Amino acid sequence: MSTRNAWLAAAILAAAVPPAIAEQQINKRVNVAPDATVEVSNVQGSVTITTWDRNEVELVADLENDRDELEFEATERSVRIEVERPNGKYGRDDEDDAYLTLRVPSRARLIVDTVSAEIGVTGARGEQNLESVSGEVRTQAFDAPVRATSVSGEVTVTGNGGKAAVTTENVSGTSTVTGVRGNYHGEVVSGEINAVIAAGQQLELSSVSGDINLQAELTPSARVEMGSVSGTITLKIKPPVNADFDVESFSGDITSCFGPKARDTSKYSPGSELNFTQGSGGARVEIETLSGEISLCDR
Amino acid sequence: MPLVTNLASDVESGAELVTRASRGDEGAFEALYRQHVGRVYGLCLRMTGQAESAEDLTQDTFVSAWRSLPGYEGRSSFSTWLHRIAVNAVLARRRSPQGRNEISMTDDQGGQMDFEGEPAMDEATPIDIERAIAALPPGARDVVVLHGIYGYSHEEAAGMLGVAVGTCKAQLHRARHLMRARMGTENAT
Amino acid sequence: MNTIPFGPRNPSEDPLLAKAAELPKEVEPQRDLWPGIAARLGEAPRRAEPRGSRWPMALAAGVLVASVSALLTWSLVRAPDPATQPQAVATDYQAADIVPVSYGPNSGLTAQELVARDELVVRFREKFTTLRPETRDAIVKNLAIMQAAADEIDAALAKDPASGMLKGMLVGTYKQELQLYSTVVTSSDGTTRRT
Repeated sequence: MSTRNAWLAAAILAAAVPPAIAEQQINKRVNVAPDATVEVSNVQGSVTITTWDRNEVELVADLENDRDELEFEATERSVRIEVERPNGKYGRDDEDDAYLTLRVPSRARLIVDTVSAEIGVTGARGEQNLESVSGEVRTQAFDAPVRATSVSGEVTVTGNGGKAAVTTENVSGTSTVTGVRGNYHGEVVSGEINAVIAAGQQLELSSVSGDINLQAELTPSARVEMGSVSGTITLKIKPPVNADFDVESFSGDITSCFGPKARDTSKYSPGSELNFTQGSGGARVEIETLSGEISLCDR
Repeated sequence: MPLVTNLASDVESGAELVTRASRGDEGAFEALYRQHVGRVYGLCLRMTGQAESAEDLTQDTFVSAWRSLPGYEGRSSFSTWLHRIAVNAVLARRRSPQGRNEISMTDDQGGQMDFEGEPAMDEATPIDIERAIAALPPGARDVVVLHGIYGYSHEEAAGMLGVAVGTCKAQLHRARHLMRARMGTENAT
Repeated sequence: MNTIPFGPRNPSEDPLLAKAAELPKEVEPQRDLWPGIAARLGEAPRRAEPRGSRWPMALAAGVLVASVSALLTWSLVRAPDPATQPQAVATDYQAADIVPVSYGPNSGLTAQELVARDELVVRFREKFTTLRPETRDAIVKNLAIMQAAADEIDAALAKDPASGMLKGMLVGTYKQELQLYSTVVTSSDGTTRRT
């Protein structure tokens, strides 16, 4: 066979062989200020962030195809990471994901948004804003504010006894918040909220149809506001309970294990309300539902 | 008690067996058991890494299937329906106090597994991969078993495991890294 | 150059997955498990029909959620019991299936607020089509829940127009709706910013 034919034959053979997966692994490492902002945007796959005591951001990115691009811009105060697909098309069957694993300074400020990629953060002591559409979001709270949102994924925030202000938002996913002291703001549509809060100061929980379960220890000046259209609200307050209660439901039942019982309100509806002071008062608890049941107790 | 032995009529007689079993015919249910136990036990064994647990879970799965059979509407294949019940059983056991002990044992012992199966065509690789799978942490192992071995899509596997699809994929990614490390020179590119 | 498209991951493209796929799917247990199973069949009571809705409170309260609760039971419950929750395929909802919540005459929402919401919906619809089927499914169903809630609150407001509680709830539902659109609209779209 002539050289030219051999070359052609080889070229034809090469074209006929299915391409191997061109998985890209990209590694980056930069020096940053201890409280730098780290912003991560990813569509599919995962974003996993842990912290260390170095003033550096380290990224290991595994991209499952050779077309995606990783945008990485860094200054001392700010790092921005984004996975991009040049034609912007993420098809329904597209299995090509990007797995981003980062180590950041523990006081870094984190801003993460994904579509379906799960977000997992451990040890972050700076402010966090974690948002996903369908991915699960898991993080820890210490003393800095944490906002964790997912439309249909589960949100889990585990506190470490610090006074973080925690905000969670879901539509159909469930929010689980434990070990947090201080302020918590939770909103769901049909998902559930399950929260255990110590030294509760400002607690605002609301749902459209999802159930809300709150176990809280209240500070003397605490303010608790809970509301649902048709979801069931269950509140357990750690004794001793010193609070003023203002509880109202348009058509749902109110059950309380404290002394006073709910009385009928409106002539328009089977509505009821329950207003009383337990102990020496001080903390304020307001609960209202349209048709959801309300249940209060100290155990 | 007639047992199904004619492969050609497997599909048709499978549907008949389900109908008869859902009406209380234990003989028909035993035939279904014999047809499907291999797949159910295979799943339980790989997900738990332990033969004894896998046997208990297989029995639990079939008992649960018997109870729920009137509600089986045939939207998925019977085998897939059984697998869903089996996965629920495995996960429930893992959450139990007894199950939590078993998990730590599996992780500590790595590839310790009573493994019964058809002899491998290639002695080295399939056994290596079984051990590598058994040594994975539970979340990653689940996904490799459901998606890798049994061919469920990410969406199906995520649904069966009660996790988001993104989590399922992230677990598979984790599994690949761990297995590559364990199996040495495996190169996925 | 090749034109072989990337489709769902094919085990043959990933050597590890390929090896896993070759493993025997059937493994026979060391002993016959049937006798143990047979012994328990008699004890296990059979379910005559599938379990009812997960939202008994909503139904008992007479809320018009009955239509959505049936839709919800399979998709929004974690680890559904396969015996009673068939693995339905998510409906392939399109942008036109997104109907913003209608708040009724008693809402107190201003025209401006609703216009702002509608502008957000336009951008939301564009993003919506890029989401996975099950996510779109969850969104459409939750918008239906919000609509049912808005209807219920509106009906209650008709009887008690001065109720601050009811008005607050309506505004709260409206804010949840906005939040949903906003989360999707601001999420990463992974497109190249360079022109």
